[in-house]
Amino acid sequence: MKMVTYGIGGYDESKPNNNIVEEIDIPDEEQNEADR
Amino acid sequence: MSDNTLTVTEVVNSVTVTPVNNTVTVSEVGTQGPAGTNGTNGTNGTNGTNGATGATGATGATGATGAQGSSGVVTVNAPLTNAGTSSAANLSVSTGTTSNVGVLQLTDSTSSTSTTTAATANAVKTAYAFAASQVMPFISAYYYRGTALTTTANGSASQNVTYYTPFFVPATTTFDRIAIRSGSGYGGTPSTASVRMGIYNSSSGQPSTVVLDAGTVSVSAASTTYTITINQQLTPGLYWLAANSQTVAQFNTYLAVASNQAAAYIGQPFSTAFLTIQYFSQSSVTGAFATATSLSDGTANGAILTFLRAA
Repeated sequence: MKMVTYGIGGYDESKPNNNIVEEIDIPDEEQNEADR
Repeated sequence: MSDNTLTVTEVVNSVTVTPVNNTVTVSEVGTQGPAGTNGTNGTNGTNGTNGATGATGATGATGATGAQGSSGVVTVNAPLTNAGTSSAANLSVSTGTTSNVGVLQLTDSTSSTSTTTAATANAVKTAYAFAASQVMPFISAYYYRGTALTTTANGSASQNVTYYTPFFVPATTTFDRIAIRSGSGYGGTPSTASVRMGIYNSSSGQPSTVVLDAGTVSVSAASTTYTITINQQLTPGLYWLAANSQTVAQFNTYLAVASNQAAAYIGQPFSTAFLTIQYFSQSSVTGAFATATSLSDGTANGAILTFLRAA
């Protein structure tokens, strides 16, 4: 149901929020489409 | 003194008055001493500025006449030719062919089959524009996967196994995200996994050297897309997208290549079991990605699908 986006370099404990720059919810329709 | 008048003469320069008896004592002054000796001489002054430049001298005499030169002889090499003589040349340049060097006529044609003319930059531009129009470009902000006609939402990924899925780039494109997606059955205890993602070059139809190690994502929830921001331009050609779960959850499932589904870009070779190879895998990969080696071909359910997003 979500999309988690990291900044360049990916997971990094030394950066705020472990370098996660965005967390957004995805509508169910798009979710189902992606799982096909 | 009797009339209270005190007279001081020129030779008296000192007067002392005693308050007790009002007497005045005048002392004599000695004569002036001799003059002192002269001081030492001062230092010399600085030099004056240079004088003006003198006039130019007269022109020298003319030198002797030189010796006579040798007679002219022309020697020519291809593609030059000489229709005259060695001393009275008549030069020209041969026409070039596919076997001999020489001058060529330029042409703007993009349909000529001539082997004795050369394309202009204008003709090359026309040909390039046509070629570029024949490939389907990626659409900005869309995610793409490179293989698997059918996917499964719950492919189980093994720890420290890199899964390489083919990805063909038809035109130079910059990608700004690389992504994987956890399966709907992902979770259990432990519930967190670390997945590294990257891009590999292709050599002889298999993953070879690293183009990009994008780093890792920490997966902790089911049916969630995990992306890493990248800035990677890829020129046309075949690449391999790589994903490796370097720590695993109890149910370590991802959106994956379904079993026995043909890969789109690796020629669908048949194995001895009459199954199509759809990905390659490499075991015991820990830490950062390095050049691919010890590859196994894969046909079973479970290769993590990796996605790229066009910038």
